[in-house]
Amino acid sequence: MERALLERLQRRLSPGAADARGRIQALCSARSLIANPDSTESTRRSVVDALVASVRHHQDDPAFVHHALKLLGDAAVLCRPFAHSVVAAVRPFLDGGHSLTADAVASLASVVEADNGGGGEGFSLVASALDGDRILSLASSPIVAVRSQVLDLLVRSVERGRFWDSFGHHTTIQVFLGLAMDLYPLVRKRACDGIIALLREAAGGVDRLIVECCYDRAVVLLKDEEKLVRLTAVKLISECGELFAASQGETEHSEQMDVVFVQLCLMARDMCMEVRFEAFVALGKVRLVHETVLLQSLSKKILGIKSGKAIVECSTKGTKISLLSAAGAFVHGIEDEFYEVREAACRSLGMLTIFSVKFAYEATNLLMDMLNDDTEVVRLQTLQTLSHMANYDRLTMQDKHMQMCCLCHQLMVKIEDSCKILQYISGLHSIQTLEFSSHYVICEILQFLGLLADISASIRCLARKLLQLVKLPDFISFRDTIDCLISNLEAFPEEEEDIFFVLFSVGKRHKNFSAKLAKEFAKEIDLSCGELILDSHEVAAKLVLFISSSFSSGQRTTDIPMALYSYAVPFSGRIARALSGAVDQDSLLAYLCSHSKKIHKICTSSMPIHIAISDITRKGNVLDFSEILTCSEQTQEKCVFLNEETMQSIKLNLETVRKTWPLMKSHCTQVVQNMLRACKEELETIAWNADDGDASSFLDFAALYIQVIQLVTEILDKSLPKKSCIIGMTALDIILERLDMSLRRLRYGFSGLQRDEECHILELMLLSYVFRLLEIGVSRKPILARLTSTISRLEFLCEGPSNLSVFAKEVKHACTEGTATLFSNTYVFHKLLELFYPEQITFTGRFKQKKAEVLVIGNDSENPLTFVLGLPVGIFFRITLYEILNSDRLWLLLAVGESIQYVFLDLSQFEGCDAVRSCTLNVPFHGTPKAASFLLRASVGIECPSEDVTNHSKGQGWPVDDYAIICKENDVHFISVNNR
Amino acid sequence: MGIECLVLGAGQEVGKSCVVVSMGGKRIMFDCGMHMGYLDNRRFPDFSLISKTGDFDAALTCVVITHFHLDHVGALPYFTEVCGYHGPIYMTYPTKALAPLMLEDYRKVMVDRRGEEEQFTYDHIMECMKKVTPLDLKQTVQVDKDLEIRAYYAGHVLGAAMIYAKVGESTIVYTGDYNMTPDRHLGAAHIDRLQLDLLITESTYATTIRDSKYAREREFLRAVHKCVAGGGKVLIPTFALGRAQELCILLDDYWERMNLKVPIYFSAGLTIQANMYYKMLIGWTSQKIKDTSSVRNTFDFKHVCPFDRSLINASGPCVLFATPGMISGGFSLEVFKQWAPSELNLVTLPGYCVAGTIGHKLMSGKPTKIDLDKDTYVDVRCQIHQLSFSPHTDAKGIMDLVEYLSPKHVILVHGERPKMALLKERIQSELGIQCYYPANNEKLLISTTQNVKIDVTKKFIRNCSSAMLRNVKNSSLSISDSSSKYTEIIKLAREDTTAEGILLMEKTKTAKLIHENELLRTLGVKEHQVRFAFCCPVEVTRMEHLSNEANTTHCHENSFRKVDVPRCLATEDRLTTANKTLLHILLSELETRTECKNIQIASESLQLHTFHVCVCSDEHCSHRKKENGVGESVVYFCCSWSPCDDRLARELLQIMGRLTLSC
Repeated sequence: MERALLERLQRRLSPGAADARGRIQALCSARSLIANPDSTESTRRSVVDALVASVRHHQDDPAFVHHALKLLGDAAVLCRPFAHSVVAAVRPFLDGGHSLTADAVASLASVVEADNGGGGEGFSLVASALDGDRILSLASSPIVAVRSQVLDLLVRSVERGRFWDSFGHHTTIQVFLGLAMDLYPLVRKRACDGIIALLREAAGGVDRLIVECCYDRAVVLLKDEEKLVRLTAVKLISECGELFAASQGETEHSEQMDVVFVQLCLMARDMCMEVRFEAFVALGKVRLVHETVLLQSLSKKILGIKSGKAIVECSTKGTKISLLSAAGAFVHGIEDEFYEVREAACRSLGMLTIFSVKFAYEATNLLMDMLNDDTEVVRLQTLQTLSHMANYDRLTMQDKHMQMCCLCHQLMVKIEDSCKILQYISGLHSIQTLEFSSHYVICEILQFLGLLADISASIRCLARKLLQLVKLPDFISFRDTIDCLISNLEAFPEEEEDIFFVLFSVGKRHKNFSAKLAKEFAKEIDLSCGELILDSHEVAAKLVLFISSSFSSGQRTTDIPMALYSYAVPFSGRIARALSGAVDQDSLLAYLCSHSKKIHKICTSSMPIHIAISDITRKGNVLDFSEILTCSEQTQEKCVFLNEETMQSIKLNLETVRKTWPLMKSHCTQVVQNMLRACKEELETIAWNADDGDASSFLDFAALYIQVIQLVTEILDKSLPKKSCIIGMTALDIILERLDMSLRRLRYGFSGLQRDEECHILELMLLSYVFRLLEIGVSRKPILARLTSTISRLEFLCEGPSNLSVFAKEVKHACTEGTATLFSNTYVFHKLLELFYPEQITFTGRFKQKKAEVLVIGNDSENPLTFVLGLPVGIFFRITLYEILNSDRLWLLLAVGESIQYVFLDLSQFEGCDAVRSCTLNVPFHGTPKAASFLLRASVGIECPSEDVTNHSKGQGWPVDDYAIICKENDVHFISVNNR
Repeated sequence: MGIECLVLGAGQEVGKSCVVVSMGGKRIMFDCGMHMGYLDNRRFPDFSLISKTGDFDAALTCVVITHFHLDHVGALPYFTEVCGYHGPIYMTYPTKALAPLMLEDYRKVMVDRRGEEEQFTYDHIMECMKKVTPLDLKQTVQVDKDLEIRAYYAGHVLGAAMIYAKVGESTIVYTGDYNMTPDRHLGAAHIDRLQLDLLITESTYATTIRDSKYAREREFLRAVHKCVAGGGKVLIPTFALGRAQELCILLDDYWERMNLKVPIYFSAGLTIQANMYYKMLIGWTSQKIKDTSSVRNTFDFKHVCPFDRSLINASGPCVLFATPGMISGGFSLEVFKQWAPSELNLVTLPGYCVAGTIGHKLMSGKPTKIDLDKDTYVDVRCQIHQLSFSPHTDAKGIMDLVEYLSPKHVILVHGERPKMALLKERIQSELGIQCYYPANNEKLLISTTQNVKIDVTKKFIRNCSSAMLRNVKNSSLSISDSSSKYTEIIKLAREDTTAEGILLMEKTKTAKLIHENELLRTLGVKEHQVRFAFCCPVEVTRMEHLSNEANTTHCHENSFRKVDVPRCLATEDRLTTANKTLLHILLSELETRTECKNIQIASESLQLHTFHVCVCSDEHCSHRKKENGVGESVVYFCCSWSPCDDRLARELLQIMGRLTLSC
């Protein structure tokens, strides 16, 4: 194939062939032969040879030569070895002012391009074909294509770092400068590009006079009509400016640079966005500018009229330019319509601050405003600029920044942005050492964004975290900060712990300030004649602050009035909790008491105080807060200990519950109910103090268990023979249902249940089935089936029927006897009840709760979702699952009134591990009712696999077996589109 | 020829903008506004100055409206429907959409509320609008054969435009109102660099220089938030279009950010309709809004809802936008009466209030009591906040625009007389541009430079561009190129480009500029060249004898024969070689003596620019100096040169005369 093609091609291209069309077609096959990666080297060579020969013979056919030259150029790019033949073939076309010259030069340009990275052979070949005079004559060709191609060739070679050695860059500059005034804008632009590349490549090796020439040319081009040319001219000016500055050495400032700066400022008011952008980028690179000029660029008003320096004119080399033209360049820059320009202006502003303290001071004002910009990129750039300034010690704090009220500075910063910003700062902070100036940055940012009052909890939290790190410069800002935190506390009381912790840190860090504040506060107390209302957020917060300052290392602070410690005593619990286990309540209490001298009066706590006190004594009577914070292991131990303690108290409660059984059987229902209620309350108290972990699972379990027992008691109460009338107990089935549900949750909602524990629950389930059978008009068959399956499970757990409890045995017996009627016999029933005596079960509490959290995104009663009658509606759920195993089958239940739509939750869609996994789902709800509005209840249920394995069939639209709800029910509000 | 400018309105005042420009036989009316401060016939421009007979169709070529504010469009229905102008009217799309809203609102207020005699009816407005041709930005409209107009983005309000008009060689720009800095919903004015004879610019803030907008926004939000947080009500009297939307964007964003639940109300009617138009005309807003509009239309305010009259006395804080802006009547006055007596409440005033309105009274010192009429008065205890948002550019902006466009003349309109005088001084002294600020009904004649149109040939144009490099090439070849190696580059950079050509004035034809090479062909004349020649004898000391006879017989023919011709006789070959050797020897001698590397060797001659040297074999060469006693050891070199290289040639000849070649 290749050979055949080649032969045909050679035939068509042969000098004798007269067919012009055939030649053009042959070029196509030539192109494919050259481009085909499988072509052999010899084929390519033959093709190129044929081309070269035919070009020589058909010079009179411009259409053919045009394409052939182009193809030769491409061939040179593909195969470097052909460069020689290509240059030779092209050479005859370089003379004469026809358009083929342009093609010839373009081919040479490709040779140079192909030489990139090569040994420079191609370049020298081209250079031999084009000497200085030829280049000049080509560059002055009246044909624009030739000019632009020559220019292109020169620019490319300069960019590749190759100068036309035969005549040095002298002639190259001549060509560039000459063509920079060409009629055609693209030629002008390219010439400018060339000059820039040349100046860069020469890297300072260019004579200053030449640079000035280039600069002058660029100044002329700044007024060009074409924006591309203006753009390149700005770049060129910037390049020249750098060279000027470099040649100036270390001198303080140069008049020439002033002019460059002003020129660029002028361009910063250009009508074209790209030019403005480039101008601001260039402004950032300028150095050695006089301070007056710099300052002028920050103010639209004319500066220095008083000092008589209003009009500083610079007339170097005849170009006169008023420095006033720089007025307000940056003010315009940061107000620009395009964020790209604002960003560039901001960056350059930061770069220029290095040169002048005064400029930095003024620039801070502008930058502060830019924190309110409505584009994220700009805000981030602003932060970067601020930190840059801080690095160079150019960021000075101004009172007016600090005093600005938190409330009014958050025009535009959206939630997610602020998050990013804060993360950014935190990151910044972790890298940098806590330098004094960077404190200011954060402080200002916090103040300016007013983030403490932000709508998003995470931002508030992050903001507070940062606040802990900040060193506040003076008392006023300290007081402002504290006031901010207090109002924060008033607005978000649920975040008390976090706020207390921050207050604690702040107080510790600013000992003297808080002492001062404490004295003021003590005076207030005196004035209030003891009628201080302790139950206010302000007082609580301040007390935390005051006691914190005494926690600092070193000498014990005596500046804090003693009375305050005593006031703080009632808060000891809250404070201890806020310090998240760093110090336990008892030691804190003891510490407070030891300070307040009123120890005897106040200490009515039953806790063994002496231990705590001795504890403190061991630590040198001073709790070093930083020490506490650093030794996290200790804290962890304490946490574990705390956990143990909680577990123990839960177990104690469950023990009490167990003790109720005999009472229950002796029908002391009231007493039992009271006891259970007390247990429940106690558990709630424990829950209040406990943190997450095993204990919380156990707590939930215990609460559920107690509820089960309560329900059982209730049922027993209702089924008492003395009441005699079971008929019409409408409430019974409801209670039974609740019991069922709770038991299911106990059994399936917790993983890691011990054998004993599971047996106990199964027995309780048996009991509930037995209760069921008591109901009138109930279909017995399914209940019996369940009974059987539960018993078989029990047998499996107890390793044989013989190990079953008496109660279970009896139930089994009743079942297998088939005498279902047995159950309706109240006698048998009561006998069974008598038999039901739970084992001396003790719960280990080492299990995990399966939980789900369902969050409906963007919906509450104020913001209902809209729906169209009869059409499905999509709901966004954020579902988080805890401790769910892969084998579990979960369903999302969407209930409207009685009807429930089940949605299977595919665990593969969730991210995370068994412990926590979460996912955002868009779930369509199909059964929209014909109503103006409705309420949908969403919850997650875990399927309770039936013991009967044979009955398993999957893939239906609803749970095959029963399910247990494992999350709080969520309301989703809907409103019809028509009613909106 | 000149441009005649008749200022019918907004001359040394703000209000009823109307400028009639005549140029090249065309007459264009820019804007046709009404003055809000007058109720008599001073309200409209004095149209009789345009045409005494009232035949406006003949007197005017077209009317162009820059934007929908009443002081720019207010008199249009009156002019078209009552005065009877039926010619073309141009305005941008948004202006066409929004102007009828403004006009109708005004008409209603005037006629329905104040019970005035109506100047035009609703039908008039509608009829008038039907005649309007809408314009798009940067779209060139050929009004007739000679007149073309083009609109540029002006900022200011939605759809505001600057108008460029061109008749023949005369070009002008009428800016209307514009803003050089972007605001929350509109971009900055944008115009191309144009060659202008005249720029007519507004000068509302001729002396003010404004600070960054951020500070102003902050002030406003702080005032509003403080009031609302204290349980007060905020009344924001605004015009329905423009500032209201900007403030709304600002507040809506702030509310969102601060999670405020206090309601923001918009008094129903016009404003709601206007918001709808803003939503549709999103393409005329700022870059930011355009960019985000695919996600969310900024004018779909989340927190803004329509106001119901019953809510005036409802308890609790709220923010209310109400028209008209200067509390001159209407709904804002109604609300003001209710809310002003409470200290909790806040009234924000627009940047500018016309004298006589309540807004103006509130601005000039804080009164405690305001008389509505002789029987009723309002206790003013509420707080007052003055807004400093303005859609007009400041003095810096005006200067920037003038500098950018660099027109030959500037006319200031739409400003206050003393301030205009100051600005005029600045423009003249700093920018060196003639500036005027005529009063109303004043006519101004501006002379424009006369341009003569000539033809040019293609070749001339082509050569313009390359002329400069050619110059360099010529001058760079001097005998010694080692000295001052940068001079020509510097010359190149410093000198202005001048293109040289020859101007031909043929009978009954337009003048034509041609390239010098074309001249002879165009005139059909042959070229004459002057060359100097001298046959210079040079002494040769021969190492090897060469027959002089042979030399003489064949040299003549040989001198025109090319070297690379393959066919060559032995003797000829030898002779040529001998001559060539001589030339080579001469070349090397010359090079060593002159240090010049530019001498080139051609087939049979040496060349340095126009200086040619070849071996002369003609005994009777006419350029030979008859000298006796010339020995055999002399070889003649025939030299010729153009007058331009005379000096060079003489130097070289001197050197050659002193030479002794050895071969």
